Amino acid sequence: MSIWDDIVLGLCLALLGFLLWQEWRRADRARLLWRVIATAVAVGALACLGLPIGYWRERGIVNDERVLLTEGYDRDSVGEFLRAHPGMDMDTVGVDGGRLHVFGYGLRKEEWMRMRPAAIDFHPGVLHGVVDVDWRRKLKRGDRFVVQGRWAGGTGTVLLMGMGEVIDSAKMTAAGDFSLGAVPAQVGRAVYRLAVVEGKDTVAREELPVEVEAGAPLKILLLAASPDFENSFLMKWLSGNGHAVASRTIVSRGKAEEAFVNREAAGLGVLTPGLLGGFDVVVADGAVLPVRESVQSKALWREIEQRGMGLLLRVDSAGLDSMVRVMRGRAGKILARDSLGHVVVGAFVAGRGKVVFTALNTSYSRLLSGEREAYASYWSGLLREAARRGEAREEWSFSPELPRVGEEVEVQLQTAAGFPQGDIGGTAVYLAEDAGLPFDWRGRYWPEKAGWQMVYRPMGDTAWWYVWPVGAWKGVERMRRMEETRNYVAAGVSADGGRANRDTTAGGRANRDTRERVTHERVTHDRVSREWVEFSRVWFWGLFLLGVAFLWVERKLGGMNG
Amino acid sequence: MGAKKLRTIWRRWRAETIVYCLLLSLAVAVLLTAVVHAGFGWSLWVAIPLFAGCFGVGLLIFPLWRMGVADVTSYLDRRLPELEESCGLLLRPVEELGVLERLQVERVEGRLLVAVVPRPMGGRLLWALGLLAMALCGSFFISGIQAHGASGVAAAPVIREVAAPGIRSVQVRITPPAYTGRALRSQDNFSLDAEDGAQISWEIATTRAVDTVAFIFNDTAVRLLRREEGLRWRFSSTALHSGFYQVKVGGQLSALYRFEVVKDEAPKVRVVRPKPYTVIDYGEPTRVPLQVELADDYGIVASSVFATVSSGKGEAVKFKEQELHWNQGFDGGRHYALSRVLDLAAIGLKPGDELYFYCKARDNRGQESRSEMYILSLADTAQLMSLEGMTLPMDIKPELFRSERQIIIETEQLLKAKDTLAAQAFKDKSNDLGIDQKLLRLRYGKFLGEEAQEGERGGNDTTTFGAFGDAAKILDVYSDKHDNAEDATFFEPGVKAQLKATLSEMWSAELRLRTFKPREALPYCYKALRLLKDLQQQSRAYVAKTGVKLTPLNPARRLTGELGAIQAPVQRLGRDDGMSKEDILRMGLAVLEGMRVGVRPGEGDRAILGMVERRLASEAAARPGKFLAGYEGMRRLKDILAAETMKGEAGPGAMDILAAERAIVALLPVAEAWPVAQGAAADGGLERLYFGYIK
Repeated sequence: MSIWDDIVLGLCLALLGFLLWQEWRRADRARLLWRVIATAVAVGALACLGLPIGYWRERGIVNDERVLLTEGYDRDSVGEFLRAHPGMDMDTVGVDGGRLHVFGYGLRKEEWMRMRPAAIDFHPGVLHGVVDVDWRRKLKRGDRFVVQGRWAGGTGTVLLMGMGEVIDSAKMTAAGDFSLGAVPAQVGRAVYRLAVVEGKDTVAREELPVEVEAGAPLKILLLAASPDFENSFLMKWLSGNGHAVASRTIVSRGKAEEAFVNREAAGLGVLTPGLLGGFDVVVADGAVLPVRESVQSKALWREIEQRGMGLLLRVDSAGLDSMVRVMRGRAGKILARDSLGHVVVGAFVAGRGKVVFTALNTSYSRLLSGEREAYASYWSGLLREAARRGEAREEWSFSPELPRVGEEVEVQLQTAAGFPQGDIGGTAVYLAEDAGLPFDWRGRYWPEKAGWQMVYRPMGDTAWWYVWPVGAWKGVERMRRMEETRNYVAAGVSADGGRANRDTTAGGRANRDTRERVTHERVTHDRVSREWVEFSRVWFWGLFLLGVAFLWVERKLGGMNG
Repeated sequence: MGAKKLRTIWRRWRAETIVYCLLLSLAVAVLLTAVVHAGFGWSLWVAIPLFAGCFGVGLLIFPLWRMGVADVTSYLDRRLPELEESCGLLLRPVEELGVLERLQVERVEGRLLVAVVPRPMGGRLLWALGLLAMALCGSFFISGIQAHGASGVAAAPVIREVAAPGIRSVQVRITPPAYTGRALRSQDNFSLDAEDGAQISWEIATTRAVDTVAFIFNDTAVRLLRREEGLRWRFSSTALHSGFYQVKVGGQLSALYRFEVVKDEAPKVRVVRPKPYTVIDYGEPTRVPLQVELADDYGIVASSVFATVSSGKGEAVKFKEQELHWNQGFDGGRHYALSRVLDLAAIGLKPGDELYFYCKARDNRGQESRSEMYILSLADTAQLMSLEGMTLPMDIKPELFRSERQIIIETEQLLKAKDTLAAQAFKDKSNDLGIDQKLLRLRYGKFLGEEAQEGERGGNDTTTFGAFGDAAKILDVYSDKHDNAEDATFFEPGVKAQLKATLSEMWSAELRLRTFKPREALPYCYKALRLLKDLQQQSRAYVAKTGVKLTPLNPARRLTGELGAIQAPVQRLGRDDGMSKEDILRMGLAVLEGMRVGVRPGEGDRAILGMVERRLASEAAARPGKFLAGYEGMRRLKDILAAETMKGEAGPGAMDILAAERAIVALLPVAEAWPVAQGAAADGGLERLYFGYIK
């Protein structure tokens, strides 16, 4: 009872006393009882106009429902919800049992696992900006650095920046995917930036670490039945890039020209296992390959099939047909077709090695016409396909993709050496061996500082990975929280047989009324909540008028009588 | 007398009110013009209608100019008590006045002449003048703001250079060479852009007395400054090569300053018309329009067209060169759009001749440049008419060609005889020629496999053969012999296309002949003939006469020569250093990137940075505008590294790293794809094991 109510009551009582006294001492004492009643009714109604008069009504919802506000909730929709469900508590986190109405982006999976609410009603918040992003952390030299991401909504520009310049940008006006890219200039590690600009303000600025591997030079053997431009240009290009090339070109009967670039000279006349073992790829034309079933041929194919050397065959149109036939019979793939759809470049597996064949024998003309990049990408593609696989390297991988300081990171190491310890920034990380895959080791780590982190196994290879500072990639983090909350809700639904959890997304909002009704019927009440219902003031106003009107008319009647 | 004075006063006051209105409206118009010019970019001409409008409004608001003489008298009556309210009498004719009034007039007139007449508009005029002055100031202020804002947007941000240690002031005077036509200018900072050949003199005042002041150009050449009186030093030089320089005061070195030399470009000559190779056919005008655009960065002083006429054929070819001048002179303008007509007849071009020409321009520094060679060729109709080609044994289709030639000859005869012929006869003859042309066209159409026209198949006419019962002949008439190999067309597509073009020319000629316009038909006839001639030339095979008789090859002895003494050639190549210049720059970028996030470079990285710095130094010497900032950044980074104060992202070197990175990226081409072996999975030999099992 508030002070206002006291004042109203006090004033009304005083008024009632005064009026009753007036009625009592009136000379004409006719209809005294009626007058007293009318006065009491009028003053009572007047008091009720000023006082909240109502009653408690029972409501059919359980009272152990709670509202949980997480980051990104919409104030209006929470208000609307509370108006529809009065008497709901808003402050409790960590209730056990009971239904939780979650507004905003939700919580992480671990947090849900800790809270374990019995049932969740999820009202997701609205995301905007960059909510998902991915790129290859390790590139080979000359590869394009492509950043792909998802834009949840709103208007803005996404910029890819590096080396102090804006490299690429995308203007986003609606939800959708974006893809930015450039060829990195550096060889080694660099941190590019992804900036989101809305209007004139930079609203987000995230780091994109990328490592460009120089890659070891290839060891290539070029065999040719006759001198031609294709081979000489190829050798020039390879040697300019630092690859080790040995070339043997037949120039006359029994005479061959040999050339050695970036490597020691060696006798190339006879293909022996010892010679072939030193090369990653043999580039040859069909006419120069040793006769089938000869010793040299056997040595060549043994090297390919047993030890994984690559063979890059330059064939003419006649040889192409037989190659395509061989390819169809094996695990092969088509690398290029001509304008008529015929296969001109293809590759197939030969034992542990690969055979790549090409009928494009004038690619040097592209170099001459200034299309150096096209030439490079063509030959790089072929040689990458064919080249002998390099030494097995230890492979470190980290989950989550965007680790931040203080968050748990799962470390995975694939290595042939069985030594259960890694070192990250001077901290030992002990690794557990996978039960099924003996080369797979896993461990946990909580990064302490942001930036590049060196990780290595004692006596093993060194690798680098990147840790973001706290608060980086907000949009992605929110998206992940929403996903995990949704997953938790979905898991709860499947576990409880569709009993408890609900996800009121925009689509589901249309039939919310029916759904709520259904849910309320289904709920077994532990406690029944009550609701305060106020009477409309019109009724009191009517009573007041009635009382006052009676008193007025009564006086007129009395006057007429008297 | 008094009336006259009154009228004078009236006129002056009226003029003053108008001047007042003019001043007010001028002030308002000036202010408004400044606002709309600065704010909305309107033209300054808007001032005139604005002023007119304001003046009109002013006249409406202040209608004092409408006052009459009576208003003046009543005003004077009020303001000058000595006139005794009798001023109005002065205006009335003397005859109308009574005796008393005349006496009063004389009194008042005397007083009026000596009275000090008030100036009701004087104060207002002063006020209006003040307003105008204020409006002028205001408009200057507004346009000043605008100019400032515009320059802030358009001009590149001026980077204030760091004051050199030990130098109080510097005055650089740049005297551009005469060809630029620019005036002497001076500046008070060291970084400078000078025209090629400009005289530059530095005048430096040091803060304290030092022994020497020197400039170090491109880190190598040291030039001592000459000492003037006191602390002043002087040096002068000629701008020849771009680079950078440093000031050394005593032992102190300054930052690096840009020394950019702007080269004078040779004039650019662009021929808009005609096309590089133009053939002028018979009937086309021999006056060819020539349009040339010239542009230079300082000025063009001369230009002309050099034309060479080549006439004759084979060994008898003759050349005649002549210089054609433009109709206008050149006074050192930067752009010229020139045009003139090449009158081929006046130049002396005859059918079959070719005209080679190019346009040459010289700028005021004496640099010359010329356009590509353009060729105008006048088609030779006489050559087409010659029968020389017909006499050769290789001629395949003589009669067909002769027909087109015959049509031309007869058309020309018809044109000559036009005056002597009756109109009907002329038309008949023209029509006959048209029919001839049509027949010719149909005959050629057969080469293309075109069907004969309706009704030409014969068929009805079997009786005239006179060989009844000869089934083969009748069959011959009725059958369509598409399958005859000899009739089948086996022309190349190119020949076919040309034949088609010929046919369309013939069709045009036929149209003109049939509509009795033989003169208009002639160009088409000639074109058709020329195309046919070309066809004839194309289909001719040339076999050189050879009298050599080779000994027959003996296959048994082929490739049996002794090669034992010939050494197989062996080449050995390799890169000198193992790392290309490009690789060094790319690795340097990675080192800088590492420094940006706080990774300290190791010894190897420092060596790479040293190589990058040397490369940037040479680039900065060649193109200081582009690379000097990066080079300076590298140098400062080196100092920071030496002082071990590297602090990472927000550290002192962050801006230098960015500057250096930008310069390096500008030096690098886009990285090209790189062949590299894929790494094997570290699976502890699982894959190998699996491979062994499936074998």
